[in-house]
Amino acid sequence: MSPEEFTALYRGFLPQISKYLVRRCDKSDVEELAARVFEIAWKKRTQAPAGFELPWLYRIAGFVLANHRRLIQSEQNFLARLKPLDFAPSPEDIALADVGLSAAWKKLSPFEREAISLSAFEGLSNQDAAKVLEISPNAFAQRLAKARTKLKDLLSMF
Amino acid sequence: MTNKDEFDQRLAKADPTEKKVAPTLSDQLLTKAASGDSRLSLRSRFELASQNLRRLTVGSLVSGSAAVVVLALVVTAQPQPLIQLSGMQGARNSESAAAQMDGGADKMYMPFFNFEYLAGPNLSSETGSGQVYKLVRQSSAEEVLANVASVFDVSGSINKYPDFNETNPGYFFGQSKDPWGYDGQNPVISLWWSGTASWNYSNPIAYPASECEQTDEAGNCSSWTEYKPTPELLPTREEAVAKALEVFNATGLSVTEGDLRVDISEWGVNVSAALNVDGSPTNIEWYLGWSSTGVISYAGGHSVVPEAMGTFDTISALDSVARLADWRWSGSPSSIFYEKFQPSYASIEPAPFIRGDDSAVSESPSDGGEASSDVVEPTPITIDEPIPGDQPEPETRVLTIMEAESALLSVWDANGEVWLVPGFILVNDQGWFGAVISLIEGVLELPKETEIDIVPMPAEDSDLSNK
Repeated sequence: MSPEEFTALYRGFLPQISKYLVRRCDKSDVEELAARVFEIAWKKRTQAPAGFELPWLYRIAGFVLANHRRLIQSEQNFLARLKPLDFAPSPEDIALADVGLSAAWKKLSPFEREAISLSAFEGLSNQDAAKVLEISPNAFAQRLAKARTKLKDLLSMF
Repeated sequence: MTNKDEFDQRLAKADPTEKKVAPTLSDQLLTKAASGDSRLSLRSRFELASQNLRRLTVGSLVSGSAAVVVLALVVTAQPQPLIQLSGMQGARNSESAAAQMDGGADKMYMPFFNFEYLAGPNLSSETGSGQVYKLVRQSSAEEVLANVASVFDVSGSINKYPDFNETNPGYFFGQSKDPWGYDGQNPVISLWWSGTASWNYSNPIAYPASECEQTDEAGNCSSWTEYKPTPELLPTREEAVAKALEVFNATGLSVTEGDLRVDISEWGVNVSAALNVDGSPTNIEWYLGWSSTGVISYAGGHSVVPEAMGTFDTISALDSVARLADWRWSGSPSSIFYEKFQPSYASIEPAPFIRGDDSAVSESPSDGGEASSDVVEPTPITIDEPIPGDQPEPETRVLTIMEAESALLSVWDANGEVWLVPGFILVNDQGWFGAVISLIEGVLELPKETEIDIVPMPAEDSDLSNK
């Protein structure tokens, strides 16, 4: 893939990547993290799955974001680096719009938060979201259903 | 809440982008990415080459390839050990390290792999001895900055970073008015006056600028010119080597052409060299790079000299295998070993995705996985209790050590000083390695081993450090 093809293909995904990141990190970090996403994407461009380029970019963005969070957290506590990857929107970000939902959101696991986020915020189909998480669409559907049910139950408590 | 629409509407309204407007990203991000010569590359090199010692407090405990942890506060018995190791990479003193240990650091989430290490048939049982060195900082922060500034012809003044303190003594030199020194206009030299006194030079104007080739109706640029390689502007190999020798030798690294590693592409040139001590490479490295404009865009080095502290007995390669399971015996090897045994390490890669959650997602309904065709009934959730069904059991992996190579490893002590100690690179049969200290017991005072409770992922996923 030439630089021209790469640019042409992914230029249309810039807004989505920007939104994906701003949902999950400080706005001031978005540009830097996006740059890292596209740098990695360029290096791995031969591995981009045809027809699933956006989920593939989301997946890279997830890694970049998780590393970014770990780096920040590890400066405060080294054990943070041992935590599982977490690239879902944080409860603090959710709290900007809905404090009650934020409290419930906090009780979800990172994987449950990400399943809901990919569906509700990124608007991905089960098939695309499954690509992001590298699991089967069926597994994603089950995970999403379970996460939604759990979130509903939690919301009833707040 | 039972109404599906109401639930989805509430979720939609909670989209953080409803409150935080996503910035419009420039097309330059793409062209920079494709150029491979962006400021990111600079930062990445900086991180790989320098911040390993400065910022990363823990290597990969899970992967078993790196170092560290906890610290020693125990009163030492006679005879005094030579080095009181820090459990924290870069910890300047026991107090600061202890502070970092506060806050529930006695817990960690369940690792996804347990490693068992076996010695292969080719490891030697011969013991030996090795020299221990202390890296002693040279001159003063002001003198180092002045020297580097003269080498790169940078003018300006010395400033302290906003987070400067006794345990985080960071300076920068230049004309930037930005509190962190990076204004995108002026060259800057940063220096961390601890450990190896690592410094970095960055010249933001060395990078090519894109020009707007198309504007939209609002007058904003909608299309930028794409970076093109300009190899004709780059220094030749001979010119790059000559300049690197000049810079490295002027900043404290005595090297000849044979010590340099030169990487030339159409997008830039990078030259690096390691501090060699008694013929052994260390992870104390200098580097110098040119952007595609042919201008020096970054450089880095240290201001230390190794001071021999004595020769000490070492254990055999065979016996050192047992130390792989104890992170406290880990040290940091030269990047040369990563290039030799883990070539992929040098590239910028995201952290490996831990698919622990997926192990609980089985495609087979017969094994209790959640991916059956039936929707799983929600289990009543007790807050702070582990989430049923989502916890993977750690997988035990057996690693056989096939090869051992002697190396000088860097370690931090509890006072924020860096030492070079003999060790082994232990290469396993799965394509990576661990680096362990080979000094006999007693020379080092290991960090106090912390009892860490292995806990499954809690239902409440709050930050562990805040508990």
